[in-house]
Amino acid sequence: MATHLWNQCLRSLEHELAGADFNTWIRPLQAVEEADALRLLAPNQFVLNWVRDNYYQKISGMLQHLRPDRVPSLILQVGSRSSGIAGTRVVRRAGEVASRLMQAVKTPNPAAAVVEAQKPNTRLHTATGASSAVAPPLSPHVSGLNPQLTFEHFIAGHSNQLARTAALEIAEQNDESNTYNLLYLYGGVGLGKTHLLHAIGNHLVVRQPHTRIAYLHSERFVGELVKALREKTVGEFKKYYRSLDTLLIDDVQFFAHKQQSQEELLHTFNILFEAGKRIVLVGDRPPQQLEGLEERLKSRFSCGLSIAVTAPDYATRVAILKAKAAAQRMPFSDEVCEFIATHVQSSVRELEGALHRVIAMARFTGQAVTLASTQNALQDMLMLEKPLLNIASIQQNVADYFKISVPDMCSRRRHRHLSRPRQMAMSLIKELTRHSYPEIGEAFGGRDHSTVIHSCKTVAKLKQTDAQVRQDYEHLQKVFMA
Amino acid sequence: MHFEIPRKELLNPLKMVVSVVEQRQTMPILGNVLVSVADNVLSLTATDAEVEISCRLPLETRLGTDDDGATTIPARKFFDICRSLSEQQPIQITTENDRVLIRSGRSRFTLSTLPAADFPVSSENPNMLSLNLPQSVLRELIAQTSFCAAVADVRYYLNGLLFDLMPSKLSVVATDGHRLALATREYQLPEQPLQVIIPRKAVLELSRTLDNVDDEVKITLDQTHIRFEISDQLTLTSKLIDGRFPDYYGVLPHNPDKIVVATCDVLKQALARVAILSNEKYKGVRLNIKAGMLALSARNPEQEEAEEELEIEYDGESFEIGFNVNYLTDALNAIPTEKVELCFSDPNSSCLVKPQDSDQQKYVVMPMRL
Amino acid sequence: MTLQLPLGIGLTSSASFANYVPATDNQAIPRIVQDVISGQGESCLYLWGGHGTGKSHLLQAACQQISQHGGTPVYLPLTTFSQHSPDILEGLDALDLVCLDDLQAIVGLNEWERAVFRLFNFLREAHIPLLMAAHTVPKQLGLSLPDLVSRLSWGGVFSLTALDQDGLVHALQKHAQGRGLELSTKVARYLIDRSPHDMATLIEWLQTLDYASLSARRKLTLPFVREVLQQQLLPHASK
Repeated sequence: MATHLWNQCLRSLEHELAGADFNTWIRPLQAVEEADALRLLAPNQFVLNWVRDNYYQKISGMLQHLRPDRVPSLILQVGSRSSGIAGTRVVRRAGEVASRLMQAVKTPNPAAAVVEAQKPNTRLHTATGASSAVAPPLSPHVSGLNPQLTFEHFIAGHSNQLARTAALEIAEQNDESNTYNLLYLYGGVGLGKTHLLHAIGNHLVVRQPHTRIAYLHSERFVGELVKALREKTVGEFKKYYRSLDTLLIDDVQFFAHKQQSQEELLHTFNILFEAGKRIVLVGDRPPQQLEGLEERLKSRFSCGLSIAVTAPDYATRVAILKAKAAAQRMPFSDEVCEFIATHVQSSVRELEGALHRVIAMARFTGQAVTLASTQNALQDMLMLEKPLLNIASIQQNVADYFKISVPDMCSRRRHRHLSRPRQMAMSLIKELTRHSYPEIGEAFGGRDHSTVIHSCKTVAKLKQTDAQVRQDYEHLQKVFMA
Repeated sequence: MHFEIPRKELLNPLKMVVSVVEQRQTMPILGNVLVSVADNVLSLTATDAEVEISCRLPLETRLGTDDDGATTIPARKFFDICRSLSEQQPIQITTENDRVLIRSGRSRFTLSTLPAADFPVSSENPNMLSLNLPQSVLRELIAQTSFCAAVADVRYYLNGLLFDLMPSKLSVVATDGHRLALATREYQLPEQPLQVIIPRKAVLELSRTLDNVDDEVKITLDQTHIRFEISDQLTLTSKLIDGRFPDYYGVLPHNPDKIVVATCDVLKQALARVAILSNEKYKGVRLNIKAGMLALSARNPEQEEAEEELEIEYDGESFEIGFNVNYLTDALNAIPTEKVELCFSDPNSSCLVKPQDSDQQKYVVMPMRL
Repeated sequence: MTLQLPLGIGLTSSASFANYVPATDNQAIPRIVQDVISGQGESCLYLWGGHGTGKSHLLQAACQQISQHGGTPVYLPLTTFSQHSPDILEGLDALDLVCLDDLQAIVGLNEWERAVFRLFNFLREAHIPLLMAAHTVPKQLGLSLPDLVSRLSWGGVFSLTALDQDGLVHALQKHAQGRGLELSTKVARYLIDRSPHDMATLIEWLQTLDYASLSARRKLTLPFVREVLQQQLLPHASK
């Protein structure tokens, strides 16, 4: 389908609109050109209303200019170009654009390009990794599962050993056995509970190819129910969920205060439970402590096995890093893993975040991951974890060091014993934080940004010529960096 | 190389070709014209490194068989000599080592030459797209727009004419940032739509060579060059300006609500008289428009004043607006119809000037705060 | 005063990767963003940094690149939307890229935090890239939904630093070029020295200068720029 006409409109609109507006309102529209109409599909009603109120006339005018002999009519509607089952369609389309882009992205750094050429394996792997991640679901009976999240990829340690065993066990149960079919996993954010849910599903897909499984986030359950009520398809909604062999629901705490959804969940739960189907639920706390949930639901959740997942211990963190890095074909040495595991303690997700950062930097530089490169890559992230480095704390520390008060230091007075610390504090803040010149000026009694720039220059100069200034500055720097 | 040619056959083509040569060049060879003979055809080519004009003339008289060859001759001198020679005698041209001998009757001239191999000739035929247009149409499109192009602005796109090839029409656009000209003709484009910017100089050279006839000009182009084959004899090739042309549709006034209809000639003459007393630097003229009547006025720094009134077709509310008088006059001069429409929305927005009952020409003129 | 108004014609220098000038510390960032939107590696990314460090530019450059390859992206500066309901986030999992700018704007707005959280999950399920930007790291935003905080840092958190003097000169010249203007290093320095050293302001100034130069048919020479700066720009900027 030729979207030639729309492309010409886009050029005009891009020129007329401020960059942000163009990216916000026009780019998300999908165009379908028909014989005598241009149909624009908006992702939601909000975008549609805005476009109708602000751009409809403009676009119609353009069409008149571009094709005066046969002006196409302009139709706005909510929708998306391809039709089909939401999940698979999107996955496929995103994959298409991504693969087109993958070929087109140019390497901005020639050095990196060379390195990549020398390491075809790395490249190949990332490519296949990405494409297998966007593979459509394995069977028509399965929805919502990410095939990457399996038991094999799950790193067990002290903190989650029990949860893993319980999950594997329920996945090993046969459909007919009624002994053990309800599991509730709970714990803080980013600890791998979701991974276990997917792993159960993926394990079952392999064992029983015809079993009906749905993984979904509780928000999606709520959303689908609302939609079904609106579109009067509640019957189908109920039928679908009540026909499952395995129901995997993530983050059940999000059912809080959603009466109608709780009601529907309860019915679904009862029917599946009585039929001996598998139900695995994940929440952020034990069932009885869930807020905003009906007692009946909480007591149902408590019928089965409830297991806590806690933050991974040091050894597990190291093991997780090793495994995840290896899966990306970026081997991390022990010292690298130990460094990250020491500094990032709270959750698996945060560990992954740190890992992605280190890997992304390594890909860019084309160098192997070393302790130094890791420290470098995580430096600002780790620095920011320190509460010391903000404007107020630096001001306080500098003032203490020079034995003056913060209000004096920020005052308008120009005496040397105040102005020198003031300049030094400004310079340190600029160096150690991300605050802009105007922000720093504001924090020093509403000074102009040019004063701050001047102060930084002065300190830089004095460090060269005045030994005392250099000594003070370096001492303070150490205090903050420690 | 050696050939003989009647003066009248040589003079006009030579004039056409030499016109492209700049007075001062960065490279000496750009001051020369390439002259070559092969297969009974004489070719003349000159260029300023952007625009190249080339002419092919069949030779009737040849003095020998091994007379093919090529050289480059100082263009200006060559043309001045040929022009001053007698009408009756044929001109004979012969190369001798690194010099060229020009003879006619009892006159003899020797000019220095530069090797033909060093002459920068444009490469292959551009082959991305090709179209044909009658000379008269091309000539008209250029005449109706080129006066609005800027001369040596820093913004590259102001120094050329946009040829906007759309599926069902061809538009030519020129703007200097204060005003814009748009001329459009229906045209069925056989291929992908395309926008190219042709340098102003190439367009001016081109318009000199075009006649008001229906013979077709063959246009071929690619990403970097455009070539006009005006006839079997004459070819003009130009580099294209590299870069995008801004979106011009956006500057056309979209819903002007105040439409004034005036008689083109009457308005033109009134403007010419008022212009005498306008500020020489800004050329400002004030238009005071009320139902049925347009009052023009101008005042120079010496506080001398000119006023004119003329009848118009208009029945809306009164308003006042200022313009550079030259911008209005230039647009009116390009409009062939008896009646002209001036469309306004407010005193800070552009005015659209167009022939009545035709959308083939549109002129957008920005006002002046006086 | 007599003043010829110019036509509203001109080249827009839309944000793209080509006209992004990274600071010395940020060299890797454009590449990392491009990796994310082309489906290599992680599908989400979080950028943070002070005002004028190029976050919005990168997000919009990503949109530009996705559209150029036939995809459908959206860029949402949340400051503009946070007063309304989060309906704008509905159905975005039918697109090819979602960019959320100014995440700090929704801090404490429960409905919004939930909606972003929901969007995050939907996009992740569908492997649709998500780029986010804010003024600080996820943990210091002060979001009330811990589930959201932990997800924000999943794909990696990267900081952007401001350009130094040379970087600003280079970037400003590049933007001028994009508008078909020439800006000498001397004039660029002059402007930067009088600015609050952030690209957002400098680009606004350049826009004003472009307009003034078109109106007066003047090049961006030092005397001309000084005149425009004093008459039009600094009265507003110095407050």
